[in-house]
Amino acid sequence: MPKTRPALCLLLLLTLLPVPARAEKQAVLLLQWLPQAQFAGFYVARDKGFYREAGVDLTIRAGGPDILASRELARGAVEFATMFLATGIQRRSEGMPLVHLAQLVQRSALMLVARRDSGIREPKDLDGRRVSLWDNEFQLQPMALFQRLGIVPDVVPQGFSLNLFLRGGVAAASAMWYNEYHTLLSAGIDADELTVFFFADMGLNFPEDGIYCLERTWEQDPDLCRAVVGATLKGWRYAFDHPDEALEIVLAQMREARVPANRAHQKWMLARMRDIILPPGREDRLGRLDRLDYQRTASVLLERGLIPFALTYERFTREALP
Amino acid sequence: MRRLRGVFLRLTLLVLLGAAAVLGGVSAYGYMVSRNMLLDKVEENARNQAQATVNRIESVLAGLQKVPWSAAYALENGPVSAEEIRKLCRRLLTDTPEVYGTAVAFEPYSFDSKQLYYSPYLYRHGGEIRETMLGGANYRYFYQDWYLLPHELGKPVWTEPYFDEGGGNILMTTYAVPFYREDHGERRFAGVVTVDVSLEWLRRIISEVRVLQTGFAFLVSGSGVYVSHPDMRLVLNETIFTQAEMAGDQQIREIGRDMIRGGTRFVAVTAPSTGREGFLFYAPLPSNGWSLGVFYPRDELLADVNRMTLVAGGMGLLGFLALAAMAAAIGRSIARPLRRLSVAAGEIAAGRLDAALPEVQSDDEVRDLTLAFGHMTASLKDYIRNLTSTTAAKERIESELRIAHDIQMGILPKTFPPFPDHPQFDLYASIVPAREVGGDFYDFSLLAGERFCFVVGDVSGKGVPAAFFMAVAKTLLKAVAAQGLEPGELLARVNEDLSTENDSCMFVTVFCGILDIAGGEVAWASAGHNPPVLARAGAAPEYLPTHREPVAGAMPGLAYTTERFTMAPGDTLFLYTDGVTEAMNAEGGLFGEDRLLERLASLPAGNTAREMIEAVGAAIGAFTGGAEQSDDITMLALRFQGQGGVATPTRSLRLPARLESLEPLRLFVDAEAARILDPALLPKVELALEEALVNVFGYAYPDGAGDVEVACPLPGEPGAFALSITDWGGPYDPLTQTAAPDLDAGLDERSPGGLGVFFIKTVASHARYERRDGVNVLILSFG
Repeated sequence: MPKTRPALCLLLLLTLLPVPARAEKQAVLLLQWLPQAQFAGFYVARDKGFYREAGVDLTIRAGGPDILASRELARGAVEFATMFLATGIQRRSEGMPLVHLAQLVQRSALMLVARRDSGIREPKDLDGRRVSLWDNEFQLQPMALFQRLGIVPDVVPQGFSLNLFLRGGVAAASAMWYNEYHTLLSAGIDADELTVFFFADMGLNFPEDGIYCLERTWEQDPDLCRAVVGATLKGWRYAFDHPDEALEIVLAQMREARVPANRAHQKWMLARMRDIILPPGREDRLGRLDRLDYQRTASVLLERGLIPFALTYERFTREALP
Repeated sequence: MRRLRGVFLRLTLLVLLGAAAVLGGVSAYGYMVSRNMLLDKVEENARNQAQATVNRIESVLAGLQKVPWSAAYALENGPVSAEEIRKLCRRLLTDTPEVYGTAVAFEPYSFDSKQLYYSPYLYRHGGEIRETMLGGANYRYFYQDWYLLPHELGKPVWTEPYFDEGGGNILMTTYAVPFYREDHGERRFAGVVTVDVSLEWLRRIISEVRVLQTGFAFLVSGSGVYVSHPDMRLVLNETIFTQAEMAGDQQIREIGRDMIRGGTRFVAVTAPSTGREGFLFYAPLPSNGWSLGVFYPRDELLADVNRMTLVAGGMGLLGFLALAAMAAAIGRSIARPLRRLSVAAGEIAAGRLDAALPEVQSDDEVRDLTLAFGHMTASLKDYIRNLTSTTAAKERIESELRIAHDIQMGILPKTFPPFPDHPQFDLYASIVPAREVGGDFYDFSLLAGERFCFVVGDVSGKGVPAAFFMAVAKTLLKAVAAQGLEPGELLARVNEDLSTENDSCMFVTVFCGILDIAGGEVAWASAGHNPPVLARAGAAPEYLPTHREPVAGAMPGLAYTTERFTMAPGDTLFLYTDGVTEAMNAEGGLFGEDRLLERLASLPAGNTAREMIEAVGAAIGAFTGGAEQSDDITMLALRFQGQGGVATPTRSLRLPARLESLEPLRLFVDAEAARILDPALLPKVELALEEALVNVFGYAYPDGAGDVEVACPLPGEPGAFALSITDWGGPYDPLTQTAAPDLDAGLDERSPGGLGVFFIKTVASHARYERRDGVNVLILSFG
């Protein structure tokens, strides 16, 4: 139709004209450890362009041994960081002005593993035995357990590997269900040779990974925070719906960062992340911090004297969900 | 033919099958044994090769272990100053080129009570030795394996391998030795001495391990992590267990567990990454608990054995084919003469006795068989020749006999009624010989003076001799009868003639009778013949008693008595031979005189002679029921009808002269004529009758209706059977037609009626027209 053709041409021209780019907000998000499927949602959101869609040019930085996420956040090196809920509560109570934006891991993945043939069948068998524990926030649940049970194991610091446990240096060790447990399987130990204690099953279900930022970041630009959280949640949903694609993204990231990676381990990790981020009964609560969970965690910290006081739920979290 | 091949085929197949089984068994055994031998050799080889490699690695590792030991010893016992430590480390590096770097890391505040971290680290860089201090907030070495493990385990450890970023991504491992110091009388852990060792030499050693073409060696650490592998991507990324997990191979997992436990084995596996089949040999490195594995791909391993088996199999197959060909050739050499023999046998069996038998070269059973067959064929030919000539002779005789039969029958009078001009008597005779020619006969002739002679005779014996005698007797009888003698005289005369020249001692029974045609008196004599049956009209038939005078032709000089009796009109004399009374059924029972009498008695009155004989003949047939006829059956019946009295009354039928009357009139005439005439003449009678009647129907009554009357049989007319056709129309003589019809003209061109008269005149023996009292009468005679 000759009449509409000039209109079409004009439209085409308009699209080709350099449109002033939407002011993409810049931000950096620090993950609390090295690249692995524990952070699949973030990498997927970045690679699939969800952050960009939300108007954020987000750089993702990986953590690692000797990189403290909260410290980096505090000194303003990064706008957003992930950390355990317990860590967040502690820092906040110490005066660090951080705010909770979204809770990813609903169910604690922390566990203690022991060799079955070491005679440890129940948690109280740990009394007097050598147990290696990660420090800082990872000590919270075990110590609470030992206190509750009234046992005194010989606590040994746990490094960045399970080799001490593998070589028989300790009878029990800390492990994450999605990571170190499978590392043990990948080192030749059969599942039936291990005794496992899940803190989530022992009344110490502390939610773990969550997204935090400084208060001022939130006050300056709440939309940015919401955008970041929204894209991240979208990334996680996509990762769970397309696990193979997510695995490829994660493995590529790990190879780029020269982190030892194999498919079997990451596949396990992604599957377990799904179990703890979307546990049965809570599938619709992606990103939400359960009030009871928060209060339980805070009260244990309070009991153990690790925090002088605890904020209310409303003051702690901004629930920056879209 | 197929069967022959079947035998040969079966035999060949069995032999080939046996050969194939043997071949297969031997090949399989050979393959198995050589494969096992090879695998044993390979295992031994692998063991040696692996052991050699392990030893090479071990020698380096073991040597390296000694190095930090001595340093730790020095640290435990000597002074500990920064300078001392530096010297120690420098000397260590200089003396041990394999060491890349060495550190001495102290417990917190152990070296300097004010310093948390104290760990000098000397390392090579380029050609020189550099120095740095490890430890800080960014490197809390207390948690590193190289520190933690010896600290907590209390013994030296080899760490897991790792990539050293700073040193250009070299694969490294660290040997860490704890050292202790006296502190306030207590032996306390003071720190760790480490040597970092590049594993490139180790990688080189392992990659130099030659394993066939595509086999390879690999190394896993104490937790199964790949330290060295041809696929570089696996190193430090995968463990043997993660590979087993991805391949879903439980066996690989078990093998991995055994490897890290320090086991050693030669086992068949499937490579998890490539899926190739092969054998794995593994052995541990004693110093650090790592394990060396060597993979031998199955296809390469067994390539030689397989090739050898294939070649052997190929050779076997060729041999097998050769064997098959030989078997086929031998079989054919046997089968061919057999087949040819069977073909020839088939020809002979079909009747071609001159078919040539095949030549057999070999001197074996086949030849014997062929020769025997030849003899058999010759004998068969002789036999057949004899049989043929015998059969030909027999057939000649039989044909002569048939001719003789015809001649014999020919001499007996066959025409009935024989004398239609003499209706005073009705005669019928029949003879059924047992064989082609027989000894029974009958004869009759008219004699001078209105006399009628009739005879029935039976010559002794059967067949040709009897036939000859019969011919002589009959001829003799006829000749003598013409002399006008009385029957007794007649028989005596005949007996003389017969017995005179009778060398064969044959005889004949004869009954001879002469009837006076006018009066009905019968003079008779019997020479030993069966008494005839006299069936007087209205009375039961009785046997005529004979004098039992002897048979004729046996002895000369015999006299015969002439008896007399008179026949009334309607009386019938029934003559027969013993073929009638002695007719046998299947059970051997005889027909008998009683039964004959019964049958004759049961006949209705007024039967003609023919009817009587046919009835008796049927009775005999019913009695014998198809059993073989043992003797000639001869019968003669003479019925006296008397002068003037026509035994058959004239009957007439009068019907309207219309076409519908044709059929009833025809049937009427047929019935009457059949009693008297030969059946062959009936169509002539019908034709003439029909033509005459149609004439009458057409022309007798031009004005309308009228009748026509047919009467038959008419007495006193010439011919055996006469009829008259009467109509009451105008005078019309159908016989006076002009010329013979023009047979060549078409049917519609000829004048009507002409053909009909022609027919009448042709078929009737006599035709006469009379006009009596205003009536047209046409008389036709036949026979």
